[in-house]
Amino acid sequence: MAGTISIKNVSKKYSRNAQAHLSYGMTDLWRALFWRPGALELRKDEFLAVQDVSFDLQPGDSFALVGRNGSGKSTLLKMLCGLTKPDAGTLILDGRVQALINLGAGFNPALSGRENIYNAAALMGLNRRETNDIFDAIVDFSELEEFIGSPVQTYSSGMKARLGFSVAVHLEPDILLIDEILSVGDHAFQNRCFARMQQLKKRGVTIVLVSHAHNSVIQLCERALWLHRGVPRMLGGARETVKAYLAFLEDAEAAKVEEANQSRSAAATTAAPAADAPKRASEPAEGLFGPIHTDGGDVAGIETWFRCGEAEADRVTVHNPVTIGYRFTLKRRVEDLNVTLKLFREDGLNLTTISTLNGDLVRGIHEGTVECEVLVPDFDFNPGVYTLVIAIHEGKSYLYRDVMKEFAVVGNDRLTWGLRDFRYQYRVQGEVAYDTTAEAPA
Amino acid sequence: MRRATARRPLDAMPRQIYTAEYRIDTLPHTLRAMARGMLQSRYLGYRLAVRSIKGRYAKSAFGMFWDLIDPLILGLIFYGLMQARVIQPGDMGMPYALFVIYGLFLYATFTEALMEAVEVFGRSRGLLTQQKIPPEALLTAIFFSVGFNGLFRLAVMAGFSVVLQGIAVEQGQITLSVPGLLAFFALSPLIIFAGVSIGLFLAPFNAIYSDVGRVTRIVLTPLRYVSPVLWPIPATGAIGLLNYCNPLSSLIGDLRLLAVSGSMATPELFVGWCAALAVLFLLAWFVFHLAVPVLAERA
Repeated sequence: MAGTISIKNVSKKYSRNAQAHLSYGMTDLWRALFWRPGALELRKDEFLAVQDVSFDLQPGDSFALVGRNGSGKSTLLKMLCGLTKPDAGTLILDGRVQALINLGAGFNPALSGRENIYNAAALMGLNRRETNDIFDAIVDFSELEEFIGSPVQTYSSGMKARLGFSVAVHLEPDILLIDEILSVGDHAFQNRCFARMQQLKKRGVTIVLVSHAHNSVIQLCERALWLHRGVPRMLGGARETVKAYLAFLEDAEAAKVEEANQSRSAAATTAAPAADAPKRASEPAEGLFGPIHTDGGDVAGIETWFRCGEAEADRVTVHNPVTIGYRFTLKRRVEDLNVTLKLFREDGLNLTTISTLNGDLVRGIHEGTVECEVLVPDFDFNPGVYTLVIAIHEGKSYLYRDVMKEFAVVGNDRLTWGLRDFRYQYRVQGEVAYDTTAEAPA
Repeated sequence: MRRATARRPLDAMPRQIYTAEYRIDTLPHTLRAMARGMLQSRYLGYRLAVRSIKGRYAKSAFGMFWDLIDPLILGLIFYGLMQARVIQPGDMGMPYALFVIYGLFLYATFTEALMEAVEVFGRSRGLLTQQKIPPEALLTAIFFSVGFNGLFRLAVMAGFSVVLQGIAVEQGQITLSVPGLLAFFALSPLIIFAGVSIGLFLAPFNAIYSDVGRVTRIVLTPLRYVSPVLWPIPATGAIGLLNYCNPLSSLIGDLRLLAVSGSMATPELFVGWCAALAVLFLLAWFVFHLAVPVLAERA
C-alpha cells in the first residue's frame, strides 16, 4: 500500500578515519561490482552509526526520530531515501518518497528562483510540463513573487528554505522525509509549513520527521523513536518518547552540573580567592553572567548554599521549595550595603534578580558577619541549567561579585516549553479539566 | 485552472527495497535499471546541464567566447611557429591553420568530455549527498553540457573551412567537402563519446582517490603532442606504433579528413576504435551505475 514503510534490523557503519574511509570505499566498490554484500563486521576505526533498528509505518502515520546530535537520526533518514545503503537489514518503502533533507539542495546560487524551481522539480522527478502546472502554486506558497526572477544568491537563508519547501510539498508524495529543516524561516512560514504537513498527513501521507524541536514532534507525530549513539532506546508514543528523552537530557545536564560543582568545591578552599588565583575550570566566560569581582579584599569568608529541602542540591525538581543562603564577613565598615542574587539561564539570559534593596534589608548592617537566606516556596523554572550569581554592593559599587552556583532544574511529568512552568487551572467548556495549582511538589 | 500539485506516474515510483544484499538476478536487473535510468533521466540530465552551463557563465560578459579563445590562441601560436619554420609539419593536404583548428577543437572537446566524466562525483557532491539521483542523469548531463560547447566549436571549425577555402584552392589544397562536413557533423559526437567512455571508467576511482584526476590531467598534456592535433604523426617507428594504439589518432585524424575531403584515411581503424570505445562505454556505464550508490556516501 502506498505510504507503507517497513524497516527490519537495519544497521549502518562508518569509519572515523578519513584515510581508512577511502580505502574501505575502494573495497566496498570492488564488492559492489561483483554484487557481493558488504560485511557488517567492523573494520579498524569503524563504528555503527545505526544499529539494529526496526519499525513499521502505515499510510498516514507520522513518526519522529529524536536523539542527540550524532545519534544516527540523519543516517537512518538517508537510508530511508536511498542516499546510503544499509550494511545490514532491509528497508522497504511503498510509494513516492519525497525527502526534505536540505531545502536548498540543487539550487544554483547564480540562477534565478524561477530557474531553480525547474531544476529542483527536475531533481524530484518532474518534467517541464508537470513543473509548469505547479509553478504558480509553488511561487504563491513561497510568497516570493517579487523575487522569483532574482538570483538565489541574493536570497536570505529563510527565503531559500521557503522556496525549497514550497517545491517539495507540491509534489504529492506518499512518504515525506524531513530532516530538521523547519528551523529556518520566520515563524509565520514555519506555521504554514506545519499546516501544510498536517494537510498532507490528513491526506494519508506518511511523515518521518527528524527534529530537535520537541514541541513540533509532539504536535505533528503520533509515534517516535529515540536513538542514542545509533541504538534504539525507546520506540513508542511521541509524547512518552520525547518525555523520556528530555528526562535523559535533564539527567545528563544535572550530572554535568554536579560534576562541575564538585570540582569547584574541591578547588575553592577560600571564600575570596587571591587576585592571582587561577580561574576555575567551570567559571563562565567573563561577560556571559556579568563582571567578576573577587579580588577587592572588602569581604571575606563567603559561604553560600543552595538547598532543596534540607540538603545542598545540584538539581531541583520543578515546583519544589528552594533555599538560597549566603554568609560573609565585612572587612571594613560599609555604609550602604546591599546584596543581589541573580539567576541566569545558561546562555546568559538574566531570568530574575532578588535584591535586598526591596525593603533595605541589610542597609543597616555596617560591619561584622552578614547571614541571609531566601526561601523560594515554588521554584517554577522550566528544566534546564541555571547559574546563580551573588553580587555584594556598597551603594552601586561592587564589593564582591561571582558565580555562586550552577544547578539543574529537572521536569515533572508535564510537558512545558519556554522559561517558566506556571501553576494554572485549565477550564474546558466551563469545567476544570486540568489543575496544577494544588499539585504537591514531586 | 492549474493544478496545485504534481502527481507523477505510478510506475515512476515502484516499491523500493534497500538492503545490504544485492539481488540474485543481478545482471538482467542492473541492465534493465540502466536502460530505464537513461530513458527517465533525459530531462533531469538536461536541467543539470542547463544549471551547470548557466551557472558557469552567470557572471561572464563573454560566456562561451572564453572556451573558444583558448584553442584559437594556441592555434595562432603554432601557426606562427609553422610560418617561421620553427616547426615543419610536412604536407597535410590542407592548410596548416585548418589542420590545427580542427585538431585543437576536437582535442578540446575530447578533454572536456573526459574531465567532466572523471570529476562527475566531485562536482555533484552536494546533490549526491542530499538527493537521490539516477546515475544516468549525471551521465546525460555530461553529454548535454559537452555537446552544447561542442556545437560552438563545430561552427568555428566549419567557419574556418569556408574562410580558408579561397586561399587553399590557390595552393592546390582542400578545405571543404560539403557531404564530408555533414558526415563530420553526424560523427563528431563520437569524440565526446570517446572522452566520456574513458572518463566514466576512471570516475569511481577518482571519487575515492583524487590522484586519479590529477594524473589524468597530467597525461592529457603530452597526449596532445603525440596525437595528430598540432602536426601529423609519422606512421613508422615507435611513434607510429604509439599512434596506431592511440584511439585519438584515428578519431581526430579521420574526422578532420572527413570534414575537409569527404573521406577517411583509415576507416577500418576508425570503426574498430568506435566499436572498442562502445564496449568500454558500456562497461564504464555499468561500473558507474553500480558505483554511484556506494560512492554517494563518500563523495
